[in-house]
Amino acid sequence: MQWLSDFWAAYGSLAGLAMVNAVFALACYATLSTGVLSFAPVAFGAVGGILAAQLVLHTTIPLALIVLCGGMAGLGFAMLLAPALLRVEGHWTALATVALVLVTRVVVRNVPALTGGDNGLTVTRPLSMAVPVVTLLCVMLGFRALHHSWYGIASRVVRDDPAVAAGLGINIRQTRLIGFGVSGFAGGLAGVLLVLVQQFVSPDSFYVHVAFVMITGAVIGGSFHWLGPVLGAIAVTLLPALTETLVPDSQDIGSGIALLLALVFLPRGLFDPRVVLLQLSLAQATRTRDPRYERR
Amino acid sequence: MESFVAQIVNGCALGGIYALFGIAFGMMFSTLGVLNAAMGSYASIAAIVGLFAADDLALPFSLALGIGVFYAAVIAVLVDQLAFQPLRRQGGGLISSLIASMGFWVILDGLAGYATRQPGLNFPVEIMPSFVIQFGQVQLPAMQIVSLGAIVLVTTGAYAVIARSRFGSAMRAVGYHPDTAAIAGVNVRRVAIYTALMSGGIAGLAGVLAGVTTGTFNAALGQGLMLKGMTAAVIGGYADVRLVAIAGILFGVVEVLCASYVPAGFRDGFAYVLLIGFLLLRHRSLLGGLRLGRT
Amino acid sequence: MTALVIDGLRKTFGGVKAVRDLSFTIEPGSVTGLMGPNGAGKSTVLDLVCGVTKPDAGSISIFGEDTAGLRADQVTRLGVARTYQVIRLTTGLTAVQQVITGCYLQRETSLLASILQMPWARQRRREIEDIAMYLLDRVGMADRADILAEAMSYGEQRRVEIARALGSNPMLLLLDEPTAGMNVQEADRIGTLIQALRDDGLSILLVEHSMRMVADYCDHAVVMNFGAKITEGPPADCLDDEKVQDAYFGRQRDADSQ
Repeated sequence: MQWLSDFWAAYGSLAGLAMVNAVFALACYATLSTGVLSFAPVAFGAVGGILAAQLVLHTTIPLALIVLCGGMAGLGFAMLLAPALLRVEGHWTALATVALVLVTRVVVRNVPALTGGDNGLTVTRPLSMAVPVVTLLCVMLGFRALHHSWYGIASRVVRDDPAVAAGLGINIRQTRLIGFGVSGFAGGLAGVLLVLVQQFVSPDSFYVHVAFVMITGAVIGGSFHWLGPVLGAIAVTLLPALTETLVPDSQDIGSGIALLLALVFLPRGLFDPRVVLLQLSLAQATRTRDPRYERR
Repeated sequence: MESFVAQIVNGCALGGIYALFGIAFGMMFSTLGVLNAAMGSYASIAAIVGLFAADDLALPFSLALGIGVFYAAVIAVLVDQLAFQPLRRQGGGLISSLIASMGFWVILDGLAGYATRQPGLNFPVEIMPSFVIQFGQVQLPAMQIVSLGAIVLVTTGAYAVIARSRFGSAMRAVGYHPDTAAIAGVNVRRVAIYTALMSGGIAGLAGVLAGVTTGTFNAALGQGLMLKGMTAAVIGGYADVRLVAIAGILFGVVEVLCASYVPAGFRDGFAYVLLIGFLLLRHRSLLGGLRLGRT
Repeated sequence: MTALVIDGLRKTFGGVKAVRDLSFTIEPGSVTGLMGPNGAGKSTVLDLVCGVTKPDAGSISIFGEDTAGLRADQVTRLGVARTYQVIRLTTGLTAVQQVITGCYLQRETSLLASILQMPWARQRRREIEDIAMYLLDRVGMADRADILAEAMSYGEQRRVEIARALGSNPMLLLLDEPTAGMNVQEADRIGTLIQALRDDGLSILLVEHSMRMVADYCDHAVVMNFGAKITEGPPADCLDDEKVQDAYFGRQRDADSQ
């Protein structure tokens, strides 16, 4: 039973990390739901997180305001980058954002005044669990509102078939810019939360592993509804802890395998509202089908 | 003056390794439409396996190199058949194969880290070819000759296969449009396997050479190599191996020359800025001949 | 004002002349049939009109506005809507949601108001839902509003697509073979709908392969072959035209005379 108690001992900080990753995954979903795969939220998170670290160390601003500042900083950075990133076609955007993640690390390492360089910075501010919980809930509510807004409806067409979207009068570029804005804001918030939860920031805080958790969460959870990435990110955060107790030193291998299995066998992810809708529709369709207009 | 020439040669040798990787990356993309983020891991694994062969089995350098390359090629085929083949059959598109390759990136790097458990690895100096060739005032160490020879051989070989052979025309047909190629009688799966085999092998070659050249390396060797190789492939335009080779070599030369003027920490950043810049500026001409309209 | 003026339109795809020097006009409130055998370039003309592809030469103007240099969504905003030859509905949306996507241009609320669900945004949203239901009713699909489009039969999907196109409140409607693969009764229902829409004042370009649909439901016909116009005029005259008969049934008389 030793492993069980160990597991619970580690659970507290894991819960915090799971919430951070959920916000990161939602930031990734924000662009993905307009048909753009982007790892840029890692960079947005770095901007928000580093700003938050500085604010915590040098000012006495209340935490809520710091979190908001981080989000706004991420939003600003996103609006700066988005026009350039959207010039490129889909998969090249993805590749350019991978490079962006690596550049971010180089910059963070080489501006020690801001980030403490290789050694990192300890960010001491006692944190109640309420901060990540409330932030995550607010972000989820925001995504729910977006989902039902005209932007949410437009983004589904843009993702499914950009040519059709244009034919309906939807400005694809504008829709994707909004997606990047949302992604920047959520990414900035996630960065602040990461710094606050870990009470530490270093060049390795915002690196490839964040991008991996983000995309894995969105793919496993499902990227056709905002609830999917949240569930996926929580699963992906807890999974290594589970596999670690079974196979020591297994690191992210378990998540990688889960990602591959999901891609091949569950292409639309765990949480997919369409599955239910399709069952209902098929049931109703057979009930009400009008034989006069039947083709076959 | 001699030191300047030596630096150029040094840059060419280094750039040759980037170019090798770029050729492997571009081959995979232009033929199979896969942006393979796991390719850096092939290189890491080749270097680690090569080191095991040289160190623990006490094999000569050429054999260790061969074993590393062989391993990388086999892993590349396995990854292709396990992940990319099912996605191809589903019509998954570029994005899903990119995500799948990220999955393998993490898995393979995890395994490589698991296998080595050491922060720094070194190829034993005594098994290395250690001759030096003297060109006037300029000395050419053996490893630089090996790297330069490798890039020349691979470039001419890959060019001969892709542009001149019957199999190469099948590769190009698959790259142009897999379904049409299948209708025209091309065995797409066979082309995929051989392409993965070749590109994996070339990436492995780049990995072993990079491992030897770097001196001390670890399981993250491939990550840096991938970014620079990818830059070479993007600048060179993917489809034509000769252009990729030239781009890679130029990139190496510029990097070595820059090393004298740019602060050490930003040297890598330079590569990434170049990559992002080229991705953003050159995308139209880059995408020109390739099938990229669909998602 | 003329609904659509196409003048000297030309488009080449890698050496294939898809459209050559095509000119015709659509009078407002009329149904024009654009017909021709497979591969005559009919769908290419639609893509050019919608701004999906850019012409190599020639001009298109919609209600007096030149579309040169406009993106597809900007062309749509001039009052154009279309359906597709191969059905292109959005996956995972029910029939009424599909039509709501078509109502994008009628949203009338700012993004912020829509996200914050302000009272007027909710009000507008309900109105849009009513419009969508009305349009579904018009194409005879009101009872299937909450069914996923993927679960519907082919003919039903076509009708949902027409309702979606009507969602933007267009003045010019482009229908790309709306009756392809339908049986005669279904096709006649679509034909009746087309005439009802015309009577409401819409101008319609009906791309059709079928001579019968053009003869029965169009006011004017344009016949294309190999990318060029071979004739135009009242449908009955066009269909009797020798060149049209040749294009559709081959050069039978030539073969006989030899």
